[in-house]
Amino acid sequence: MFVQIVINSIIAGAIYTLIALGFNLICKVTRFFNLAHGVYAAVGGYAIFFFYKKLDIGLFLSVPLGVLIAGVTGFLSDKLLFLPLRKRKATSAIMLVASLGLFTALQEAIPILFNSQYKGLRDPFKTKTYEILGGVISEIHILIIASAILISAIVILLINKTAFGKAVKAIGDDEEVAKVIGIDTNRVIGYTFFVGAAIAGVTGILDGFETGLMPVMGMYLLLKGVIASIVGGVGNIYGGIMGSFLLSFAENFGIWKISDVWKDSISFGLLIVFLLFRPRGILGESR
Amino acid sequence: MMEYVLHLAIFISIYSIAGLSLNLIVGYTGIFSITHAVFYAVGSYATAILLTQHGVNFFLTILVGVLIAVVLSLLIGIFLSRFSEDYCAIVSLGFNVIGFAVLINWKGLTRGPFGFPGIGKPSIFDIVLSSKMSFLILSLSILAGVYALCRFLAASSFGRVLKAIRENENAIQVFGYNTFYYKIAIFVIGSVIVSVAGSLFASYLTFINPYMFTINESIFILVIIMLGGLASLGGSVVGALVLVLLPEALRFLGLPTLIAAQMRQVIYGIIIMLLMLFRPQGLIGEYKLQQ
Amino acid sequence: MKQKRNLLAVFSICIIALSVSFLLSGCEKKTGTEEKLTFKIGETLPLTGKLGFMGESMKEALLMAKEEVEKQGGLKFNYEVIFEDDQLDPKLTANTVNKLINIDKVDAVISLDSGGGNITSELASAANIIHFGIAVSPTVADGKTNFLHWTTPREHSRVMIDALNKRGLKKVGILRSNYEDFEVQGNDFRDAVKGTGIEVVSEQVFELGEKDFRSFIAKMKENEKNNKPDIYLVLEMSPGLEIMTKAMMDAKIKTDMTSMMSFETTEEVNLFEGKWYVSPADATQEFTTNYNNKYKKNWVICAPNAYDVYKMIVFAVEHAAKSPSEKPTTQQIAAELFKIKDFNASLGTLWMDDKGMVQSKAQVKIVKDGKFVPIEG
Repeated sequence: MFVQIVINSIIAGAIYTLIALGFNLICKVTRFFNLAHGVYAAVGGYAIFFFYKKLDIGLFLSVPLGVLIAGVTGFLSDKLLFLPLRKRKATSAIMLVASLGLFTALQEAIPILFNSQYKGLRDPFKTKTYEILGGVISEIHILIIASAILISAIVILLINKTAFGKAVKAIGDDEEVAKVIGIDTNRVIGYTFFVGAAIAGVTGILDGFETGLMPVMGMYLLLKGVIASIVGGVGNIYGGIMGSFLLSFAENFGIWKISDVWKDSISFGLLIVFLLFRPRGILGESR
Repeated sequence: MMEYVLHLAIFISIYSIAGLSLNLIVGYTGIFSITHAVFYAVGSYATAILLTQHGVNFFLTILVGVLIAVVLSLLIGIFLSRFSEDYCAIVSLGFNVIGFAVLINWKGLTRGPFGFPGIGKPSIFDIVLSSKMSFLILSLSILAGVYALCRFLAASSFGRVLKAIRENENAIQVFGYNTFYYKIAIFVIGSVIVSVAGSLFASYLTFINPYMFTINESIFILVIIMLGGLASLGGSVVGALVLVLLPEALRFLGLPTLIAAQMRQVIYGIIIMLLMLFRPQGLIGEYKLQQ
Repeated sequence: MKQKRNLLAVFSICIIALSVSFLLSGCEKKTGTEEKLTFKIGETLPLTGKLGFMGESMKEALLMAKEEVEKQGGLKFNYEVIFEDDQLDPKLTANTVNKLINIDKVDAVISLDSGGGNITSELASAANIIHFGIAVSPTVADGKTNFLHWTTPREHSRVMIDALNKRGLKKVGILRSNYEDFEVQGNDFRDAVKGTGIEVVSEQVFELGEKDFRSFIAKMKENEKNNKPDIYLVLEMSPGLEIMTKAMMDAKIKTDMTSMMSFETTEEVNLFEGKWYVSPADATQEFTTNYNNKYKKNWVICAPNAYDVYKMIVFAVEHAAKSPSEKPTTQQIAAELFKIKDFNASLGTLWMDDKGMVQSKAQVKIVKDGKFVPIEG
């Protein structure tokens, strides 16, 4: 059972990493908690449902389309909402509330386009499962872990090795100075939204395949992503990864002995403990 | 027709009280709290438990709720006061989540998901306030009292310190004010007031369950005061009015039932976004959220 | 001063907007020049949200009942139905029922679920109108004018115990969410098995809305090592049901599953192909065929209940009224409802007990080719 709990923690940690990655990226350059981030994941998931199940285009086309649509949603949310707010010198609290409005509007629009019933994306009878050291893991779980590793690597390379990444870091350090040295901050922020939301889209697609689609799926992912980010250090990519795994291990080992109904309390309890003793997160903030 | 209007009026007055109390914390002092529903629940459950299981007089149950709210808000407030706005939001959200888990899982006390049906109406000296009109008079009276109290606090030197904390906490600390005590004080006061609102809520609705006290409720109260205008007392009432009436008014718009409820929520979200874009100080507010 | 003016302006706008809406909605209701009096029945159902498809199906079944009743003719009154969406949120139920009672002036109201049902019972009693709930919790039927139409938890347990015994299954593990209805049912089952030779060897509870069942299932497996159940009794509805089932399949749990009603709340019926379970709704072939023909799809659980409730109310009203010129009082209607015996309905032959709860049978069914087929025990 110990092995299984470890495996479960890794799977959950991988999902949280994916959502935290996007969230941290956006947080790094905009300095506020975008509560709509979870919805980008839902958008990705439902887009895939539309292409894969409704229009019956193959997976190879559906997935990139789904990710693209999620990314575009993020990009547009910046251009239409957050950028105008930034131009009006809105505070981070106002942006938070605005993102709340966006989250509500988008999440409730989903059942209008599709209905609100649960939708599965895979056939569980056909999913292969493997045994490792006495624990089990299915192929979708392996895919999730692989994606988390791959995308983390891509993001880290992006941040450290590309001009875009350097611009992101610069804006994260100080937006005014970044402008002074010639970075078109608004453009970079826009692209960051695209990338962050696209990653969220991937998360939504994976989550959709593993558990299924519900219009409210974004909220769950968002909360995990926020906790993981804060625990790891807001805006810090590496911190987000560490925070995600700390969270997932705490949750899964936590409910080993106590009933599952307290899982959410454990998650937030971890957050509160961290904020009590190490408010800047494991690796410190980076924004 | 009149009964329906009275029903809405009672809801509006209860939410006004809740809004005013949160406004003291968020609007005047700048503590961005999203855990208000927990104290709302304290009042509701105190009234529910004591009224249905022990036959305690309604007004005494309010008192018990208040006492519990004091203790709880002290604990939570001491913790929250250490954080800046956005962190405070997330942490307080966490307390709300934990609070909800307690409500739904501590079955011995709260009857868990079953909730409390059949909560009685308030009675004064053997006169039971069973009609909507009498309940409205009660809630309006309490609203008037709360409004007066808030006005008094806002205008007093205590209130000036709170506003100064909101504007620049460090600056006022330089002048020797122990901001910590002020923040705790107002957090407790605000939590106590919303607990009273919770007691009214439980008795009026006659049924409560944990699902009425989730983060959605805290956010609802927060949006009421943001809409009406932070640090604007009249604004809290206006905000409650609009947010209670809006979904009901939209109900009459005759949208196809299949999407009506979602459409309302979408409109709700759009209104929030438009508000933040074009009038962040709310309908009547004077204060835009600052860091 | 500017603040006060703004306040006044906003206030006035709100009042005007509300008044206009009320007036507009009022205009739609024609003051009938028909000869018959109208009896209005209001329904507060989840028409949107997670269980929106359930509310929709109930609405359809009810409208079908209305059509059938009208086709038979000979009614003393006109019947009007008004639907409001409460998304299964009791606070909204308070709003919808208040609207139905005070604006639409309904003479009877139908509700779904225990939370909303409790609130509706209070409001309906206070307004002295008939209320028929479709819910698990018996408190919904408190009061002389409140009624309940749902197979009781004890009846479910009884049929389940029979079915388990017939199949030689002695050890049961309960898996459920902490939702009220499932807690009631689970508790009843634990009580009912005493002395029957069946043992509840474990009960695992998860939070309603849980998405991550992996470690929950790991614990299940661990429990199986000590005391393996012969079968799991699952008490949960969509979406938790599908998510948990898929996770159990991923984890290669071999133990079989059964449920009470749960399998009928999902669209992904193939997950439970071949599994037997206890269903509260043993709808007649006639009802099923008629519904299929009319709506080109299968009815969702609770739909037959809505159909029956409508017919029972109309039946009682028609029998209680002394003449078409005067609508019967609520007390008279209630008296007729209490007399209901051998009532032919979609759920078989029904009768009302003295607490106001309609007695209907539970039925063992099996999922076959994506359909829910009744079988003998």
